Amino acid sequence: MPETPLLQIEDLVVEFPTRGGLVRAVDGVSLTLGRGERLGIVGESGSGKSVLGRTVMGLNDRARARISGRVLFEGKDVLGASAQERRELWGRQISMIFQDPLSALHPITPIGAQIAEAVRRLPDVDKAQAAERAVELLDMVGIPDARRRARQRAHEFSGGMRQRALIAMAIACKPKLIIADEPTTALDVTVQAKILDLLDELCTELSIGSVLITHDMGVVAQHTDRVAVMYGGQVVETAPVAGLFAAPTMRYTRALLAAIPQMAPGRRSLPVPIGGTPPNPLERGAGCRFAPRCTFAEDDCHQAIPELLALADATDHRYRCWHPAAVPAETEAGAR
Amino acid sequence: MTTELTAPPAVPSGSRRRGRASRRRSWTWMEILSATWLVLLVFGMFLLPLILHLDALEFDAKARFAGPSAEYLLGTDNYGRDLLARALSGAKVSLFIGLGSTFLALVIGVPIGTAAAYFGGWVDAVISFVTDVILGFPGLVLALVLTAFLGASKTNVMIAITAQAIPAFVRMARSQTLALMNRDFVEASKVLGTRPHSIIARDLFPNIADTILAFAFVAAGRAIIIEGGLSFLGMGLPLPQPTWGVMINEGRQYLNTDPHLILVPSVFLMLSILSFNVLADRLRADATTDGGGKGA
Amino acid sequence: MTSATSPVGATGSAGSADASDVPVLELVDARVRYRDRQEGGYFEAVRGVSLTVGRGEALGLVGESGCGKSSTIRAILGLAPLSEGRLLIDGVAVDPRDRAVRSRIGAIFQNPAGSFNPRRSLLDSVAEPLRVWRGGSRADRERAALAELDRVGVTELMARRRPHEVSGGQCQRAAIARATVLGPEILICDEPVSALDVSIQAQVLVLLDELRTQAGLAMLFISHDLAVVATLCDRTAVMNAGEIVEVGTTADIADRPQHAYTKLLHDSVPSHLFLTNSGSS
Repeated sequence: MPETPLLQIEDLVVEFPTRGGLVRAVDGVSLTLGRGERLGIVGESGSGKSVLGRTVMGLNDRARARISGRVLFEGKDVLGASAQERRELWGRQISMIFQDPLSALHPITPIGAQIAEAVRRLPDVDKAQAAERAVELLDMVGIPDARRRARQRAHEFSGGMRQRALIAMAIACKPKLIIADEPTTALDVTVQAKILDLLDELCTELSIGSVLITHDMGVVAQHTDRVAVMYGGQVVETAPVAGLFAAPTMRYTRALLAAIPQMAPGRRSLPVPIGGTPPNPLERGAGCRFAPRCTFAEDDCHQAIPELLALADATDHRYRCWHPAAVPAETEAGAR
Repeated sequence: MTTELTAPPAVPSGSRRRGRASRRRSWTWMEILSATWLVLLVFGMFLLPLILHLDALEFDAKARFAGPSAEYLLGTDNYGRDLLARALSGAKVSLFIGLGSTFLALVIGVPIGTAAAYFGGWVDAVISFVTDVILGFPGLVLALVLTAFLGASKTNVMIAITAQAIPAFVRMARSQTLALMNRDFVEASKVLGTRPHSIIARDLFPNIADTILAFAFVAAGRAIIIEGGLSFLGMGLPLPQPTWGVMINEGRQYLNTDPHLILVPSVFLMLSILSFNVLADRLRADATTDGGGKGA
Repeated sequence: MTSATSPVGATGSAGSADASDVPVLELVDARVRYRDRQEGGYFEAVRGVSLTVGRGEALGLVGESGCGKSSTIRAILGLAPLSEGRLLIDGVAVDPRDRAVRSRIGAIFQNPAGSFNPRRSLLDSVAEPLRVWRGGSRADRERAALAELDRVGVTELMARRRPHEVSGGQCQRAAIARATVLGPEILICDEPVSALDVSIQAQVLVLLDELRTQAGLAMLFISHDLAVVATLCDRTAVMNAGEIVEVGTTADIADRPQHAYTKLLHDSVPSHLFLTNSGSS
């Protein structure tokens, strides 16, 4: 019997009515995440990546957002779940880590007590056990002198320590899936590296699946197994991480990689900019979402949206492009 | 998610027109009602007494506590005086004192508060201390003491009410300005060598005006009530000139038996303040383009 | 410890003969102290920083939050007290709090929309320095501002909008125009691309590079991202805990970091290059 995937997203569409018209923030996204797998969702602002994450969590206001499609967690529908079922899901099965740890933590409840509260969602845990477990968790996420630290409040923690505490809270009730939305964007690079390493370690150890939402290609390259690149609400390319970076096929993925400043020896040239501005969800043409900014766009690119096609030699590498870059990588991306 | 939606990354060529269109958006029924009420009130203040031969001071011993009738459209008070006539006569004084003193308090208080926040240090310390001390007293008590010193006249009542309102404006302007002081655009102006008065006039005032204006209409309502309190205590405008505040205070005694005595001036007051608020909101929305304002 | 002479020296110098080897901006042993309200004593955010920026040179200043890089430039811009040390422009000591210095140093900040008054059009804000320093008629000032905006790639249509009505990239371009409209000798860039989308970052970096190579504008470029600095700057100084721990050519810093902290910073920058086929990009 084939194993049910941990998370299945099928043709998900999320729309918000605004003053300017209906904004389709997520436009027909389908993704699958296996047990213990690390999925990276990468995109710029307005790509729909955060809305996607919040929808999977069931955090979108159903009265405001129009949602169609399906989100299945271990085969069970998340979107149609009752409030009771959803509460059971959050905290117990799925946890979320946010960009700003200070606003995600309660300002005056001691950190330890907040974690203990999360621990008590597990069955048959009494107060004393929960408090003890909170200290263990803080120790586990690398906070020194955890027993003393557990009594402190959020403002007494540094940014990195807060994010560690948040991770401790996220793993407190042994979830099967963690969704991390830009978890390190607010942190320094040296701290970012440590936090992401910690997250990797814990997910492997506890076989937790993770969805890492970020704008940073470098973060995705180092901390995920599979990547979905989003642009204008759609997944435009998805592949195992090695495949994506070895053979970026969709023109946007290529252009984005060339636009990132690099500092490897011999490559210290200026990045190649992408012209134009990120797409406005209210003014989308009929064609490929990237066509207005794409230097390789031809007439047909503006006519219709390309299908998500698989590469001939790697069926799990799929892209949405009328004129994909030839594989293996050739040189035109380097030319200005 | 909300940031992505409320601030679309790209504003394409059509958005300028969109911005204009939203500025010229049609009037809501609340705005139409508010404007209508104020127009009617002003016309009523000056014209109705002439047309209907109203007299705010005439006693009618036979019609004390009368309800609305053809002769007295809104009824009469404890002396049989026409409530409509009194409310309209009171409107002139109440609106003049309420709006006038609030305007003066704003003009004096806001620059003081802004300067305190901008310059900080001992300037701020002194201004804040004085403000806090004054705010420790209820507004009515302060106005009372001042009129007791100055004597009850229209000018002095105005001075007293203005004086009690200033500290609130100082504090409001100070806190609003402080919130702006660390914003990048203020620092950018400093870095360009812009002089303080220019920064205050161009960067600070326009960006605190919204909040201050909204607060001013609340303050105007309070000023009208305080004026009534002064009259009630015999320190307001010389009787028998009616004002809304005087009428509310007089009507309070008959709240249980004849509530229309207090209802008439209260409704006039409430509708006027509400109308000012609605129209102020509208003006504010027109002055700001979409997406502007306090977005950070 | 950080006496760094400029190897690029006089590339863009077209002015007086004696100015060629005098750095445009020199900061000598700068210290910035703040009063610590809780402890009662003083907190020293900048502990003896010296740096020089030559004509047409771009100096990168890299470090993490709290390392003192912001305090350093705030002191240069007169926004924080320079408790000790000296600031020299063209070899002449100046007081950073002196208003006259302001027209000689341009600055751009991290948050593009936030650095503009939300109530005024970009054009008004870009013309503002001209009003403050040059006077002249309003029409003249607008013409000059529009010319400067055009140079950085902002059209008049965009310039007449308010900051929240244009994209972050357009806004940052306008901020550059505002900083250069007076023709300053040096441009201070405080994390100018950190708040921008990746695809827009490159546009702004290329624009800044053009200003430097074509107009010979000296730059002090502050960033937390070593990779961003590496693409733009000739020399790089690494700051940690209020001190400059390493300074050198960008090639040396990026390829052969010496100080332990520089190495840590270097290794922390997430990169995808290890996954790409070597030789192509």
